[in-house]
Amino acid sequence: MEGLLHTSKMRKIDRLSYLPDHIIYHILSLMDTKYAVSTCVLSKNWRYSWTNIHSLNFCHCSFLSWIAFQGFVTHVLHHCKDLKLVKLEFYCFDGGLWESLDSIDNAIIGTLTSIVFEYAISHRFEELKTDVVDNFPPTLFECQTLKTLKLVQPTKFLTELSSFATLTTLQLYWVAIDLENVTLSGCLNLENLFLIDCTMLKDPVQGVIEVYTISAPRLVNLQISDFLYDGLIVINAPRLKFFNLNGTFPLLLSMDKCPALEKVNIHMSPSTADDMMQELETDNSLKQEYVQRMTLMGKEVFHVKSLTLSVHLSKGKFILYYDTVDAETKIVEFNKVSFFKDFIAETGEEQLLFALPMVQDYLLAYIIAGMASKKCSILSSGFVTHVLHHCKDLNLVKLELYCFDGGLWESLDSIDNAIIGTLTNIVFEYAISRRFEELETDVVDNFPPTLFKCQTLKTLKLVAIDLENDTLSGCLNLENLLLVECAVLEDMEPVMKVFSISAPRLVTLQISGLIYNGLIGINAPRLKFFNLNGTYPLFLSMVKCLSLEKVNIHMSPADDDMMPEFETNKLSMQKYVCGMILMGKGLYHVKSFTFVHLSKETREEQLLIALPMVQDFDLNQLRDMLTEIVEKHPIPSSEIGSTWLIGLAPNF
Amino acid sequence: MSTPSSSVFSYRVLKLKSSDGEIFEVKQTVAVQSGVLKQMMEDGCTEGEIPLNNVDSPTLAKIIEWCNKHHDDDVEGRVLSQEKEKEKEKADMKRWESEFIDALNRDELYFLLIGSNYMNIKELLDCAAQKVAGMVKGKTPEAIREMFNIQSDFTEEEEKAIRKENQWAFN
Repeated sequence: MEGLLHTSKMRKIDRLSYLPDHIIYHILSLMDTKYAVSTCVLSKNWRYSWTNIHSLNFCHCSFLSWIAFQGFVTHVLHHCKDLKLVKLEFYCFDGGLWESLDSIDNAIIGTLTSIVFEYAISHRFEELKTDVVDNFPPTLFECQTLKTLKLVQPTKFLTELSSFATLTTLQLYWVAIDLENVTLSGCLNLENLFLIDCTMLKDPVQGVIEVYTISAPRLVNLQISDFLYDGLIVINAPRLKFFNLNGTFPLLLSMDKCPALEKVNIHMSPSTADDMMQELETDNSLKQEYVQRMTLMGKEVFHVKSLTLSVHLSKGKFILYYDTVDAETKIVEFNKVSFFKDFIAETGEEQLLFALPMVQDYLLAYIIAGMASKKCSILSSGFVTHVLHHCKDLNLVKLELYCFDGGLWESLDSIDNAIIGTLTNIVFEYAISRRFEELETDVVDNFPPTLFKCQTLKTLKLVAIDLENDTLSGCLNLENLLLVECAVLEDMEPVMKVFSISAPRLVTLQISGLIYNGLIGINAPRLKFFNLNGTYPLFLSMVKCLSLEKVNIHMSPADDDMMPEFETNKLSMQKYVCGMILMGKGLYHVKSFTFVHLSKETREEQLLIALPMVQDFDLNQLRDMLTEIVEKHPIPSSEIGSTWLIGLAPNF
Repeated sequence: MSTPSSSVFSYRVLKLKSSDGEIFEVKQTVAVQSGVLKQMMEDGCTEGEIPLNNVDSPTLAKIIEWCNKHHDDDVEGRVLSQEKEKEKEKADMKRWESEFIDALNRDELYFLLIGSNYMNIKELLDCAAQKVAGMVKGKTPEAIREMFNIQSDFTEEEEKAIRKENQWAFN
């Protein structure tokens, strides 16, 4: 044979027939068994070759009738040599045919399936690819050799998969998963799971977030492609290392229970779905949800070593790449996409308009927040600095920087603090140099001195911060100020302290849940809109706010469990009412005034005392107002009415 | 790479001698894709020229081209930032493979099957076998005979009888 190979260079030689037998068998195993069998007439050499094949590939689509298919399959099983089977492919339904089947066809399929599966099981097969699921013989679940199962567009919804204890690879392609019944909890040895083009069968109940749990103790690889599901997917896989996710719309994921994750690739391509891009571009709330979900996904997997997060848009591509090993972060360019360019004379700016807010407003901020809040601050600071380094040199619109996750600071050591200090410094300096306009943060003690002189910063939102008396006394350019759940640090001296907010250009001021016993002096000659929410009235001095137009004050003592105390303690009730009046007093020069007082009893109706506080606001009106407030309380108004009026008289 | 013994020699070069006496130099990291050469490396008997009596020089050149394309220099040391490029590479590799295989004429394909089988390079053997399977698929026996120059040694009656006997396969 060897001589033959090398002496002849003529093309007219039958080389195929003289291949070593096992190569021929291998070739025949790789094709539809129908074609393998038909080689028996080629020549005497080929007469029985096909009976040695190691894989069976049956597809109904190669036959004209079910009878012919059945005849073929039974003959093949009968003639095949009694060898170990590696793989069985068994397709009956040609992707949709089952609807047109009559009962005889179904009976044939039933018999055929059980014959084929029994044969495969007895020949110790390792891999099964099929679209038949409803005739699994019970012995299949006990088959110790079967390692790989690939279901392609099966006829029935999947209900029972958990019995395949020996499976190491499971692929579901175009499968409707029955949320209530399909769990993988019994697939104890599953290492690879691929969910491709799958859907969830159950209709979502309005207002309830469903949860689907993928629980697999040995899972290493997980791929989810184009999975349509609105609920939360909880992945409980302690050994999961590699996770790939593709699709058009981000999923809600929970991956806390995947501590071993090493590498995550998330590719979202809204541009491949019909209308998705258009909707994203026109519907702002959808866009926001999209970005939020992306962000949430990113947050879920931020403990991995290597992460690629990408969004492919028709106008370009946003890719975030992050890797702890090389401490490398990349926010890659937005590619110009040529087919789009034909329609619009596209400029770089247009591309950025859609993609940039994702980076600048949301992702960057949340990522910084997410990373900074991880215990491993060194890592995060590396990450943040890299983000800053790679960001394009464009104007920053908004910076959100959260470091403390509402309480974490207690557990920080001096190194962490030093890192946070440096980090905030860098981030703020960066933001200032990028002419940012909006800042939202829970960090306050590392404000660089240049911050308040920053010409571009117009909006400042401080969350859960301990303010010092002079923190906000020099906001020269601020136009909007929001204080959320802040507190003012107090000295223990009995002298009433003054916390001053001095902002010559301030227009909007919102204070929510501020706790402070001292006087809050607001010096803002241009202030027009003032909102105040809280449980307890504040002492305000707003005489220097000459332009005030609209004030909304919402007090909800019921939120803070003050109501029982009011019911029993008349004095605290009086103090409360006095506080309210004093607040009102400082504000009666405004044009529009809404005073909402929510008490426990009247919560449902949301008792609304709206007094247009006009210039002629006087004592009588005030008394009426307060009487009304007091009447809503269980304490008889006659009893306290006179008391507080007397108490207040000198002030008026 | 996978075994300590082979990683020691990872930068050494093997000398492969084709059936027609030509010498090919291949890095050990590349040669490890061949089951036979890998075994020899582990056994430590790769000194001097390694004769491959079943593989002629054009085929060996093809095989080495394949292996060079498929070997991964240092998987660990690779900068992971090339993730995107890697994804692209995967698709590129598939395209390269099919171009590589499609460019072969029948003889070359045949010798490649023999050679990859002899040297035990599973991926290449699978790829070539798949190519042949694809060529057979959907063809009548006559067309297959024509394509591969297979001479039927059946008499007309014999063939008729076989077709009748296997009628179930020709529906």
